[in-house]
Amino acid sequence: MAQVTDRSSFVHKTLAYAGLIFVLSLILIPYSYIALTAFKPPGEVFEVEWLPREWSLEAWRYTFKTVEFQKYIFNSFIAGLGAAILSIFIAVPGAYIFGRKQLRGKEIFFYIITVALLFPYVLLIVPITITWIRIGLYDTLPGLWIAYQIFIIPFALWILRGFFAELPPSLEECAMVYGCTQFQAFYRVMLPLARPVIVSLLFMTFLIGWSDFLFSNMLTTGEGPRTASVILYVTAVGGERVEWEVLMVMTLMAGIPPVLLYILAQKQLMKTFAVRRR
Amino acid sequence: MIDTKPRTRETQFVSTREVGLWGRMLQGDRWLIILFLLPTLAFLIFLLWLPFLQGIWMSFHNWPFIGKPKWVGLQNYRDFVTASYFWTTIRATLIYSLSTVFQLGIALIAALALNQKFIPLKGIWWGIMLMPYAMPPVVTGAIWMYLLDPNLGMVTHYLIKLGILSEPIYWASDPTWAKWVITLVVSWTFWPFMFLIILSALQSIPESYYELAEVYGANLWQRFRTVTWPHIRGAVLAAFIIRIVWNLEKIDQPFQLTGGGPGYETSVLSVLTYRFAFLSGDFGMAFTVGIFLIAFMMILMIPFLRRFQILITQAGKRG
Amino acid sequence: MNKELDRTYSRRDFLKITTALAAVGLTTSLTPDLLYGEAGTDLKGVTIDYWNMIGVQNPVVKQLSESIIKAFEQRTGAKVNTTWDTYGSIIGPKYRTNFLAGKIPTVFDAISSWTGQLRSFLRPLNDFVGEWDSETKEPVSWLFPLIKVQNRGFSDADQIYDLPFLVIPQAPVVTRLDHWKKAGLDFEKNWPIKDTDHFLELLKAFKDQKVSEYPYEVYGKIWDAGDTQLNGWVRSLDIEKSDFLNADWTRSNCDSEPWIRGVQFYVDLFRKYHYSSPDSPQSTDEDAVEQLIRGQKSIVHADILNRGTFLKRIPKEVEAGLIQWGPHFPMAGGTTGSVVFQAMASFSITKQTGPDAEIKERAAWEFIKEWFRAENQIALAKSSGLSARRDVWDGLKGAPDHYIEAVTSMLNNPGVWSNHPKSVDIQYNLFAPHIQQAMGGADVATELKAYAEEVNKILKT
Repeated sequence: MAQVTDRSSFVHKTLAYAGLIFVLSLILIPYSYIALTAFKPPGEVFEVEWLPREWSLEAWRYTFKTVEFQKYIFNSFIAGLGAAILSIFIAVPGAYIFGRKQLRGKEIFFYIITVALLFPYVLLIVPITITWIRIGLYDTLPGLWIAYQIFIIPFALWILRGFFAELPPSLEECAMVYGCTQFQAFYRVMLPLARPVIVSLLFMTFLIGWSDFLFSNMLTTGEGPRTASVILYVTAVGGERVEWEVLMVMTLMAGIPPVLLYILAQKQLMKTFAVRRR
Repeated sequence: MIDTKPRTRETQFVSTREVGLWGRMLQGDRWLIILFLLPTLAFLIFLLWLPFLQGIWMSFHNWPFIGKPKWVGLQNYRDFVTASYFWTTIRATLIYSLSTVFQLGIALIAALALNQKFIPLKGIWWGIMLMPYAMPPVVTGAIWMYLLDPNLGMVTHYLIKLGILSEPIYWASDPTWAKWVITLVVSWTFWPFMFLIILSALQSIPESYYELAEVYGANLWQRFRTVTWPHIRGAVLAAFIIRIVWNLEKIDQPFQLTGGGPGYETSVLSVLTYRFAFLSGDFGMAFTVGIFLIAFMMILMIPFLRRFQILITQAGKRG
Repeated sequence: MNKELDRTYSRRDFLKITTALAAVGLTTSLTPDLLYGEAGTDLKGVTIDYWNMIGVQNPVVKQLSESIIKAFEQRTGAKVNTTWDTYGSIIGPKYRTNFLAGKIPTVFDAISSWTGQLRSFLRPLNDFVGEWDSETKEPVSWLFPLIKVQNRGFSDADQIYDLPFLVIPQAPVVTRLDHWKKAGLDFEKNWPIKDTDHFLELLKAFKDQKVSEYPYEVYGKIWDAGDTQLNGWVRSLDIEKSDFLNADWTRSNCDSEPWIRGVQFYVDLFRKYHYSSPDSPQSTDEDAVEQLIRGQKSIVHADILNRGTFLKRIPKEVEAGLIQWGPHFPMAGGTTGSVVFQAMASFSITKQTGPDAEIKERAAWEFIKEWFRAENQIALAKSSGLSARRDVWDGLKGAPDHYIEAVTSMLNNPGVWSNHPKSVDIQYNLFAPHIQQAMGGADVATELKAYAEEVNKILKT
């Protein structure tokens, strides 16, 4: 890296650290308070002191032993994962065509079909639930995976289309000069280039399935694949009164796995990003 | 699963020429195009377009949840425009839409800061950034209610203790504050989405570009303007457009925080849709409001959409 | 799938539930001999789907529900598929959409005034109730006329579609005694409160003595404005006009004189007297109870579901008698006899089709009966609302906070809210914005008139 002046470097670092601290404090201040509240006995949940006077594991015991929240965390994981993988199969090929193929009227066509994406999804839950019950997707994991695509496909299409469109136009041609077929050009050249974007899409998509309440509640019964969000809502927030300390425990339990997953996935992510950098 | 039989050179190079959609179907990569578009189109048509068209149809009816619908023409539209709360709800939706701007601000700061090489433990910080987005919005909404409670909450307590406030702000009962609080809570909850997109765009900028810029003596701002921004603006625009739509469709948190009140002051269009559809069981009105919401979003989006389209068209023409 | 396997519960499961309940002093019909004995066989092989909503009230009620479900399964050999759900699902889209598409539980519990929208899916329970043994039927028979009143707009109002197993009288008052001492008030002489004039005197004392800045609270938030203390006040002025709808559900009562007086007083407590906090337009009884616990309020109206909060947060103080419940009271000049509206948690059985319809309905009814066993009714009354069975009330009296005494003394001639198919819209969704406007300074009579017009329009279609 080339030498930069000390002053510029100092300003640069200060700005970066200030930004980081600002954003982290937006997250960590509320969450540390939540984390500590999770250890407060019921009598103390509205004490505004940060540290509990008396540390209590009551809420944790209730969450793990009585509600067995961990079982539902697993359901959420599968729900998120399936949704993420499915979304790639639906969105990537279409986005590739819309992003790269020169077809007359393509833009108009794209905008016409995507107008429907603006449709308030809260109004879609009724037709979807009815259809799912009729075709047997109700109370099944695939039913949830497909339903989540409502939230996912719109943005996945948008982002991927933009990404593909911005790649140099000659890429496939070069690949085909070297003997690739159309499909191979897509599979061997375009997909690897899109990997960073696809990975972050996968992750966002996973998070959508992981945290969704609307469909998970509408489309499942107690015997089916109920996700942690539903159980969390039903046990802690759905009544007139909120069970605060239980809510806090469950919030931590639902919030931390994706974060760990992301941290663990870092290495892999860095590798995929590194491919682009050189 | 895909046809990979060898082709002649001529058909392969057709992709550079503009051909009509149907003309293209007869040529070399027609199967690829058909196969690739199929899943996307099937999804869009069955899960979105059909309900969408049905929704427009329903907005011309008096459509109860259970029972026979009745054609009423434009009555629902007239009722909504003349309702006493029409302008209240439009005003609330306008303020609510600013959440997209706040999200962009936080996401840009976070992504730019975390993309610097000298920051240690990046992986952990990245992970933490996702926390607000990893929780069901109803849960983060409940937590903010708990933290922001004017009488019992921690935020009021410390703001008063630090001398920033002299007395609690009863935000939920104050029309102005209520709108800002729902906007800020939604901003806080969903900004990691933009963060991830912007970060992945930043990651794809080759390091050598920055090195080159530094060799030419570019300062921080110049490097941002000449290297960073051109590379991420496509992603920023795409994320921004998507969030305009998504933020305006969010219902859980505003409804939970204020119940749409006081009066109709925080009944943004999406909340009103929910109230009509499920509390009133009036689907005709719900879809009518939904169509106003779509119109509202389009008006906000069009400038950004045009910019985005120009951007990707240029990119396509660049060699 | 092997259903046989599902039916055997591990000892661990049993112990988990019974010990948790025993820890809070509750016993249910899940007794040790049921627990470890042979499962019954008379409903063997029958599976019913049960959607539970009452469990959302608090973790204890949820565990209680589990315990009752298991007792039923063990007693009869039937299997219950339980789905834990929330009020949001019956208010919102879930129940209606699922029912419409044919995904219907065999039996579910709900708030009885919200089931009108689902009535066409339900099965009348009169024949079952008719064959009920008198030992159980007699103590709940006081509810039958109320069920009829609740459904009086339907042509088949004689039919029982929702059988209440818990009632929630809206709303007793609850206070903390230390504030009375600080305000120099004699609790014994002033309790129970006689009427709203008496109430204003008390509140004045609390405020003047600076015991609490806002000693009381009126509730404006969407789910609390239309179902806590307000209706009782209107009822004390005019029983006929006190519900939101008139007797045959053809127009709204809310533009009438008693309503204007009642709402005006409700708003005055906040705007004129400043006894209620600036957050009134968005306040809830749950929040007010927290503030009472924290000593920020002196006296509030709150339904007895909130009692669980006291027991959880300040059990020692409750035991010592610091917290006292008392009955709701009339408006000055109103009748003392009738000041209460009660919400009812009820069971409904859905219409079954197919060859096993009859046995499923039978199983569902046997399941409901389990909830009416005296021990379960007592356990429910200790952890949430008031039991539907009157015969267990006396045994519950004598708690240091006198909650049973307070709510039972309010119950001569209670009102119930109409079970109109649009009751959620009428009672909450349309009502709250107008109350909030009035609390924001708009004219009460004008707001009520506008509200009544909106409702009348709905009733016409």
